[in-house]
Formats: sequence, structure tokens, C-alpha cells
Amino acid sequence: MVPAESVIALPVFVLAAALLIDRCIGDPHSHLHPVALLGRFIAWWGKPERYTRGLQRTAGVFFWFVTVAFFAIPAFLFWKFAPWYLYLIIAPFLLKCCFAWRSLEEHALAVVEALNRGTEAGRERVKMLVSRDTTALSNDHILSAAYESLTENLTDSIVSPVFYYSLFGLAGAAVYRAANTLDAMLGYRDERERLGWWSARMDDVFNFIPARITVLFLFVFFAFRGRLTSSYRMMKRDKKRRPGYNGGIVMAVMAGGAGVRFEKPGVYTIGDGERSLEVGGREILSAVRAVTVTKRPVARDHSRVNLEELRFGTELLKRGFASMQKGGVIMDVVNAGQAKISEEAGAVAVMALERVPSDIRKMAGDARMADPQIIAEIIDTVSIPVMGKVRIGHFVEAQVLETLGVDMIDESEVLTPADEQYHIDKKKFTVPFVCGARDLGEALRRIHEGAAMVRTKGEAGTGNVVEAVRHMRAIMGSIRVLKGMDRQEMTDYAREIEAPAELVIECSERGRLPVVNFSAGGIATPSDAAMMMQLGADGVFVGSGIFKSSNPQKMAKAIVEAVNHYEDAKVIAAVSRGLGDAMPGLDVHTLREDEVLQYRGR
Amino acid sequence: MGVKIGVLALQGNVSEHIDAFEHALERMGQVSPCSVFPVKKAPEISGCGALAIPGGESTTISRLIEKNHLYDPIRNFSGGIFATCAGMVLMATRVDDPRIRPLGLIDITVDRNAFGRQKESFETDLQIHGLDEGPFHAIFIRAPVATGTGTGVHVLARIKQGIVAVEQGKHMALAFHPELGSDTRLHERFLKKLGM
Repeated sequence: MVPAESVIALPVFVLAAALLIDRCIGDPHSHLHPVALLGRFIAWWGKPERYTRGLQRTAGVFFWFVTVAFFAIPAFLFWKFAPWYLYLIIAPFLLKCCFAWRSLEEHALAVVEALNRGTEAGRERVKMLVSRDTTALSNDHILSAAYESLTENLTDSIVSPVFYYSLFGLAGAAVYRAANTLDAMLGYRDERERLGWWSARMDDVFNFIPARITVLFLFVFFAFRGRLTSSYRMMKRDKKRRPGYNGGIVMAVMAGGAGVRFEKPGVYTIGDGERSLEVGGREILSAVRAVTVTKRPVARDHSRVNLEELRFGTELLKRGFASMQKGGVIMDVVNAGQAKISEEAGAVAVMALERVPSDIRKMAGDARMADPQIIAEIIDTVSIPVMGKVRIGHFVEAQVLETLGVDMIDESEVLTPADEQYHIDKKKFTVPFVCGARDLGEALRRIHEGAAMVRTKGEAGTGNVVEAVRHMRAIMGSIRVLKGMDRQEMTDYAREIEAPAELVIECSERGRLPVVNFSAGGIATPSDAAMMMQLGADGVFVGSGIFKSSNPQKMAKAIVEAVNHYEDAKVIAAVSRGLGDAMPGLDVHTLREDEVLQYRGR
Repeated sequence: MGVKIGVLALQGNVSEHIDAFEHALERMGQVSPCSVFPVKKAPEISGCGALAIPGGESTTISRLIEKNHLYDPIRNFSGGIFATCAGMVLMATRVDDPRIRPLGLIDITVDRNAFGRQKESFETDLQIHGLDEGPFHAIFIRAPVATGTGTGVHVLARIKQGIVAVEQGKHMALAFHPELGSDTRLHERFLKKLGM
């Protein structure tokens, strides 16, 4: 039993110690964590199919009391009968189990961080926080779910438990934790509706006062931010939009104060969204920190964010690499000497291959990956990135190039295809890929397979730009058409062009391809290159155009400058002077069908 | 009077830098209107309050700086310069590659491609000096590192291979790419130091 003189001091000490423990260890994952045990017990009885329809509601009430008793009675007995010194040591740990302070924002921040790596990662992470279906959520909806959960937990995980602890001691906090967990597991309007009916109602009752205390705290915070009226107005307007008595009011105050919009697709929208959640999210964090008196996120959990962990070959790194090539010229080279000339002329990268496309046209037999010896020499000679071509579908050639240290692989129709059905599964590689495309559908199929860069196919080795123009116009034109479509039309269009719907939608939202889009195939002069840039290319590949011209050095420099000043006809005119002969052009209409390279690999 | 932020648009990921600065300004709740736009010519540069040198191919950008007569205009630029990756190489006083003529605006010695080839490019969480709100998710793509610094250079972050973030006066140089993620804390820090 607790000595009488410390009736006040002891609870305060226990609370302080519990908060300290939380700060230090957060929420350890363990099967023996009391809340985990509680969860398993609820999962055991909480299966609606165990009961007949008529019995579900009664069973829900009965087991609610059993569960709460099961969780709270030990706490009560411990408080009543444990010797004070034992209580002093153990009670903080028990109380700690009833609230979550530090992990509050960690969960939301983990989602934000996952989103930085991509939508899919964000969906995966947010699934751990909310019960909604996350498969179709956009970035904004994912952020919304994360910040809604943070806002809701401000009441559930900290204000309420501390409130009940101060009124009824350890047992009070335990009753609350049990009631809240019951609602979180059963309080849904699906097949659990009847079984969870009592749990949901009791949670409404328990949180009624704490939710309003949270609101008062938030008002104080937003008053300091000069946002009191906006938060109050939003509370008046939107508090009933969310089902339940307590969640909506806190969320509406938060949405109004932070100026954001919470949205659960098809269910509710709270707030006006004066700013995006990306921006307003920081204000939400500040509000939560102010209410919970956290100076700053002291413990952005460094044990979980491993500072030494390096991730290689991610989608972001691959696309980022491609993005660094923008505004540049990538030149085809067959040996180290040509690579050196290209680098000196200002190429952003060189493409190593056995023969330039125009020689491949003349040669009989299969065209394959270049000799590793030559690729290694080129890599040793230049400091700019070195790319290499592999046959369509030839994943072993790709493995070889990756091993050699090539920076990007071109799965190219210029070489003889190795697989007439499948392209390489490019997501399996650490090194990024570029692929050719003639239209939007083909581009998006390649991106779906993992290409980090797309280029027009054009008609390589002809020195004739007409096909590159056709392909660039087809891609850019389709994206312009997409912008006027609604969702259904886009889904339909995706089926028509045989591309994944989510990529079609992404193109329409961004107004461009999700990856860098270069032009290739038949570019022979500075004007050709500048035209492709004006048509929307992010950069150009020049194949035979440089080393089949009469003065490669000069031609290379001229094309680099023309791309740099693609909108300045004066510069293009100046650099085009006295270049000597460009490569001889071929009329693509005179090619036999089996000579047309662009039909390879669709 | 609004402040202009120019992004050097010779080669590299220019549009990402423009977007990142616009986001940063939005997040800072900018009072005086600032605008962000690509710059290619000397008069455009001198009209700016801040300049960004983006990532790209440092040899290519260096050559285009010479070709377009921008070396002195950038060297004499009075505002702050925000440089990433290739930009960091160009800002240095010493570079391990004779083909690059560095601007010498930050007193550091830089190693290009210090981590190797693209397959060695990586993402990681970095602890950055002065950013309180947790680690920064940094994206290193064929990145350089600084192997030495002179006086007056403030090191913001370092990893095993060397120094990856520095400040000197108004300038900031980073070996990684903050413009590829959505975290704009470094952009904001740079702009705040310029009093924006």
C-alpha cells in the first residue's frame, strides 16, 4: 500500500517516469507487450462468424466488459496491493503501455519519408496506420491518411490516457487503453458492425471530453499562429463530416488551422486546402508537438533510421541519373579514340557499340553487344558516363554490361533482337535502362518494365530525321490529347494503347512522360538536333551522324551547341557553317520491311 | 521588389531545381514575391539575387560556361550560389580533373565520381549540421566529395568517403541532389541565409 504522505507525489512521479520511458524506448515490438496480448484476445473473440446474427450485439457488450476487466483489474490490484517501492518501479512501465507519445509523429514521418521514395512505398507504409484500402490512393490521399491518423492519435494516444490516469490512476488509463483498442479493432461499419457496436459507442463516450480538451489546446496553439478564426470557422463548418462524435471536430480544427484538406476518397472531405498537405503537414506536426510539449522531434528514432544504410539501384536513382543527362548530347562511339573526341566536344555521355547503325545496315548477320574489351577501354578513357547497347530481351548481355560498370544500358532495336516476345525485366537491374519507343503506348510499356529513360526509335543509321519526328510528335501529341480526358476515358485509352492505366494517368497529371524523353534515330545535323529539342525532347542521341560526317570534331561541337541554344536560330546558323559533309541520308521509303529497325520489339 | 532566383540552364536537371525552389518558397510562406527561372546569359545572371548550379555532367557544363562566356559573370556574381553535384565540382578551388576550370568560389578540393560508376550511386539518410528535424534523405548520383577544405568553409555533413555538404558565406554546395526528393529544408536554409 502506498504511504499516505505521497498520495500526490507518487502519481506525478509515475507519470513523469512513464513519459521518460516513452521518450527513451518508444513502442517496442513484442508479442508480450500488454497491448499486443490485449489485441490477440480481442482477435480471438472478435470474429463475427462465431456468433449468430441476433447474438452479435449481446456478445459484443459481454466481451467488451470481459476484455476491459481482463486488462484493467491487474492494474487495479497492482496499485492497491503492491508494496510502494515495487509500485514505484513497475507502474511507470505499465502506464507507458497505455499511451504513445514518441511514436505519434514517427508513424506520420515514416509515411512522408516512404513517399519520397515513391507512391508504392508510401502506400505500403500507410497501410500500417489506417484501415482503408490503400491500393488506389494518390500521393495526396496517402499524406492525408497519415496526417489524419496523426491528428486522431493526438487524442487517442496521449490526451485521453493522461486524462484518465489523472482522474482514476493506473486502472483508469488501462480501462481507456482497452476501450480504445476494442474500437480500433471492431468499430467498423462492415461485417463487424453489430459485434463492434458497443465498442464504438463506448469509445465515443470515453473520448468525448478528451477530444474537446485537444481542441482547446489546438485553439491555443493556432491563436499564437494567428489562425484561430480559420480553425474555429472550419470546426463549425466541417465537424460533422466525419462519422462519429469526436474524430471530426479535432480534424476540422486541425484542417482549418493548418489550412489543409483531409480527404478519404468517397467518404469525406474536411477543410479547404489553401495549401497542400506537403506544406501544411509541417504545421500539423508543429501543432502536435506544441500540444504534447515536445520541443522538437528529439527522437527521430535513429535506431530505426539506419544512418549507414545505403540503398542502391532504386527507381529514384535510375531516373535521377537519366535526369542529369537532360539538355545533353549522347554520342555513339566504337572505340576509345572516338569517345575522347566526344567528351572533348561536350557530350554528356557516350554510347559504346560495335558498329554505328549505318554500318550495321551494310553488314550481313546479327548485330550484338560490343566487345567487352572495347567497352572497358572506353570506360578507362573518359570520365563522362558510358552507356552500352544490348539486344532486345538479351538479359545476359545486360548482366555483362552491368558487371563492366556501364552507367546505362540501351535495350536497342538497332541490334538484332534476341527475344521476339519479351523485353528485359529491367527492374531486376541496379543499372538504369533506356529504351526506344514509337508512340505513347510503347513508351509506357517500357517504363512499366523499368526503363528510366525513353528515346524515340526514329530510323537509326539513315541520317534521315523523319521517323524521329514522327515518333516525337506521336508521343507529345498523345499526352496533349490525354489532358482533355476524364478518368474513365483515360482508362479506356490505356487499354487501347496497351499501356498500364496508372502510367497514362500520371502522364496526364504531369503533362509529360514520367521519365526523361530523348530523341534518337536519324539525327545528322545541328538543325536536326535543335528541331527535336523544340518538339519537346529532353536531349538527343546522335548515332552515325557524327563519326560518319566529314569532320567529326566540328560536327560534334556544333550539335552540342545547337542543343544548348536550341531556340536560338542565330547560334544554330553560326555553328552550322562550314561543317563539311553530313552523313549521307537514306530515304526510309526505299527500305525493305526487314530493313526497318523500328519495327523490332514493340 | 521581388527577388529573382536563377537556375543555370546549360545542361542538367534544371526543371527539378526550379520546382524545388518554388516549393521551398511556398513552404516558407514567402512575403515578398520571388520568382524562379532558367538563366543562360550573363545579363540574366547579374539580375538575380540567387543562382543555382544544377547537377549534370560537370565537364559538359564547364565547357558550356566557357563557350557562353559565363565564367567571369558567375565568378563575380554578388548573390548566393546553391550548387549540387556537378555544381559542387564547379564551385571548388581545386578539382582532380584538368578539363574542368573550377570557379573557386568555395575553398574546397573536390574528387569527381568519388564513389565509382552509376551502379554505385546510392540513397541514404544523412545527419546535416543545423537541420534539427531529423536526418535528410540524400540521393547521390555519380557524386563527388570534398577531400579538403580551407578556412571559412563550414562543413554541414560528412560521410566515410569525405565531405558532402558545405557552406561558405552565402554559398552552399552539396554532393547529393536535394532537388530530386521533396525535402526542401536545405533550399529553405540557403534562402533564409540570403534574407529571403
